Amino acid sequence: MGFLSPWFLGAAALAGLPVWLHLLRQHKTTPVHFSSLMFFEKRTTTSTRQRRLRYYALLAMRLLALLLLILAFARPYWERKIAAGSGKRMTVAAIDNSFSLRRGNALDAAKEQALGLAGKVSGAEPGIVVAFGASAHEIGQKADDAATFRNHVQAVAAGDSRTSYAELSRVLRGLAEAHRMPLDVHVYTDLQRSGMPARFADLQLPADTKIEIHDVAPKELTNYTVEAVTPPGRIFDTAKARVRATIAALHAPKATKQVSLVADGKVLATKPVDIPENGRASVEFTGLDTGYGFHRGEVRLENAGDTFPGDDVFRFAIERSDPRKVLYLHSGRDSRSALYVKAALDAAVPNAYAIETAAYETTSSPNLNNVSFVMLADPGTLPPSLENALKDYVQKGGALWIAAGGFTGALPKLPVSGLAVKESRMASRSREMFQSVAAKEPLHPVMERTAGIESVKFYQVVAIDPGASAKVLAKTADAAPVVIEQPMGEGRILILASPLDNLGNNLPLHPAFVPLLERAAQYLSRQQESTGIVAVGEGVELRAASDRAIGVEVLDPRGERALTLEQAAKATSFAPQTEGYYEIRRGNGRASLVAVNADRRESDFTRMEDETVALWKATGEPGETQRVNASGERTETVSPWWWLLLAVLGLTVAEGVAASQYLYGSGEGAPSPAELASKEAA
Amino acid sequence: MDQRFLDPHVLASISNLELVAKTVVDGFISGLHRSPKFGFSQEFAEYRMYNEGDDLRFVDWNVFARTERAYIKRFKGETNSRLTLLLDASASMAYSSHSVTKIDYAKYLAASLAYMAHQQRDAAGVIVFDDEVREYVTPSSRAGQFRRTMFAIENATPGRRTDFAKPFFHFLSTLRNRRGLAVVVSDFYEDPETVIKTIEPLRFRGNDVVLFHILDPQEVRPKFDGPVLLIDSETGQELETSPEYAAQEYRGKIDAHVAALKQKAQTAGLTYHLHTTDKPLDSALREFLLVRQGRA
Repeated sequence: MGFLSPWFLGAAALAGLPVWLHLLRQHKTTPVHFSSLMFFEKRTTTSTRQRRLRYYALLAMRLLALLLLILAFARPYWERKIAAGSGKRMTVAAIDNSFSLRRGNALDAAKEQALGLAGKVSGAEPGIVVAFGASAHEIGQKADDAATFRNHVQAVAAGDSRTSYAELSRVLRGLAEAHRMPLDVHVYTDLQRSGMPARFADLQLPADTKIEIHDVAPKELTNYTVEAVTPPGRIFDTAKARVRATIAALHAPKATKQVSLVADGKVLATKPVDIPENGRASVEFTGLDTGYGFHRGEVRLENAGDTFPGDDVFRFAIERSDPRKVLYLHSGRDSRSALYVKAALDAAVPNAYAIETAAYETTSSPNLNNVSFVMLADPGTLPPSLENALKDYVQKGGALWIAAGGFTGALPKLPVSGLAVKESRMASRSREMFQSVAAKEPLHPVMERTAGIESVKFYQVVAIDPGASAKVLAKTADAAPVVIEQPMGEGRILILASPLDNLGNNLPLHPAFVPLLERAAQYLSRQQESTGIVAVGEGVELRAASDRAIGVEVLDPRGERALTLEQAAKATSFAPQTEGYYEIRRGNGRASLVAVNADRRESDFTRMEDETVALWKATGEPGETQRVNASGERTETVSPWWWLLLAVLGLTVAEGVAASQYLYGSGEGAPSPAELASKEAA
Repeated sequence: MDQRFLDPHVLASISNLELVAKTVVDGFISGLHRSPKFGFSQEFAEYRMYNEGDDLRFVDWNVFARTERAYIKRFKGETNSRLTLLLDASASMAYSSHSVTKIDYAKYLAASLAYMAHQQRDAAGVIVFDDEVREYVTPSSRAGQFRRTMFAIENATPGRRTDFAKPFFHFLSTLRNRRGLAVVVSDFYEDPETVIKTIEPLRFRGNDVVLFHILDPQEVRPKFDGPVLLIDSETGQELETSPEYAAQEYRGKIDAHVAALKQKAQTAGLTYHLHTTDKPLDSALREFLLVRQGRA
């Protein structure tokens, strides 16, 4: 038996304190003047003895509590020997099945080596096979015989996720806890540095765990890879579509490689690219001649000549569609605003929108079929048929943009929207009297890229009462709404409380105008901004939390359903685990294609440093609580400090009860004659 | 008047003993007026023929004018007109565990009784004693008697130890032939047998004797936090004792002492009453009135 903090034992001198309290202090007698000692007797000796006897239990409890507390702080321990025969260990074969193990037959080599462990597996010392990538999981249950163990090893399949040694360590900790056995872990991996977690503490292994690393990759591996591709998510003009790719050389010399752009298996273009040593080069393809709809594109590194062809292809999804039709209605006198809007949308998303302009005076019943959204420039009083047609269009899911100007401000209500107009305030440009945006909803899709809109000068702002249903997205310092979103039926209306003719404000010439209009157009036409590329394990948004009623179906690269029925009904996101193209079909008829690529960190075969590996191994060595001697006999250090603290707690409670009994338990004696007399009188 | 003026703690804040007595008695009497049972005044008792030697002051001259016969007007109060207060002023009476000492309480009581007697035109006097007679005011109803009595009571300070023999011998030798009411106010730290034997002869002479036993609450039910060294206030004797003894054995002894005193007093025809100094004075006054009414 020993003590981890023996200097605390010096505090045992404090045990004298209760002794002093009990034995010395009680000899003190307080002199008290009393009227007569006629009825008193000397009780010094007997009373002290009685008291001493009476308080023995209390003294013992106090002394014991104090000594136990000191003992607990001194951290006593003793070593418990566990016979070698009982020191059974569990064999764990951890096989890395991350994307990098797709290199050649690396995974097969790893499994082959792991099969060698089967001889160690028995009923007394079972074995477990763990496959790990971004996540780690056991293959089957623990194997009690070699054949089962071999089957489990053979069942490890290649994956496309990235390596995570932290996840492996977490699972190993869980195994040690679940099976209550020390582990002999054999890790078959390529020791990629990119698999290290940000915090070393996440690599902590369970106590008394032996870990042996079996490196299944050569020391130096050269690799060229298509690191990233930036395609347009949606193309409208095939001739102008651009695809940019980044090619990286990882531990590889300078080389010239051929890079191809492929769409639906057809090579559209091939370009040479000079890649510097251990550097990166980019290549850009212009023109993507495809038909309408979704297409499966890829950028391919031809004849890379490296050891890992798996990362020579980078997939992307692309959609070709016609420009979205936008109906722009304006008054006959307003010829400027349409110009600003067209220029802005063309600059933001070339050819994405086809804007048709028409004057209110000549449009009584417009054709709103296939119109993505309608824009009204200072509508004023609309012809009833036109207003009714627009109302009907919005109610059925259409979208409307209203820029309110002087004509609209003169009306009591906004046309179509119906929101009340309180007044229209016009400021003078010459006097520099203007209003500006003081507050906005920065997270709203329409406003999220409108940095600098605060410096736009609004000379005319129509004071609109947003009511209860509409939401103010931007407002001036005196709380006058500038941008309002109003839901109506299944559709939505965006209202700008100022015109777009560069007279009521300088917004059309302000840098914030283009992103505002781009985001507004995207929001109104219900398009989602997406490049159609995600990495393995990343989440793909299936639906907004509010759209739970819409069913979603995901087809994996093999054409099979990737979601369970419950997930299809409720899941808001989905994390694909293999490379390929995933088709997402939503209940409202909308579909999209997502290209999933392996994390390109898997392409970097930079190895973990030997020091790091040694440190990782050291985390599993027996700590201060466990040691193994030369004969394999294990000694376990046991410290009862926790039980000692519990005993102190119990003694403290008991002491409190006993002390209160001693001090107050004697209670009052029989009532005095005076008390009896007063009772009788009463 | 509010009954709280009978509370000894309230009375302790009044420095003038006469005022204390008036406060107590007036408050007590005004309280009694609600109950006709305790009515108390110079009540007319009867007429009797004048005999030679009767005091001419009590002849009803109006009757004599109408009937030419001399009648003496008798009042109930006349039948018992001597009150002698025996106030123990020994050192033990100085004890107190709170704001009122036993001697203070005894003085309030004695002063109140004296004031009450003065109101009834009774002759009142006082003997202040410890082991000697320290002060003696002969009972009388003359003018200035009340002041003298009050002065004697007010000047009573705790002296030495108690000895009943001397003062009672003095009392017996000088007043044995005159009937009256004797009130003994003491803590009676003496053997009950001795106390009763000393006082009992008064009763044989036709006196009514009332014993007011004054004790402090701490003397009745002492509480000590730990072992104490007790010092006798009369003898200076020191004695170490334990709280357990005080809580158990002492209580038995003091209870036995009180019970013995009471029993022997009743046997001897004396009226005994125990008072602790934390209790109001009304019960003591009520006791006195009952005795006096019994004599009327």
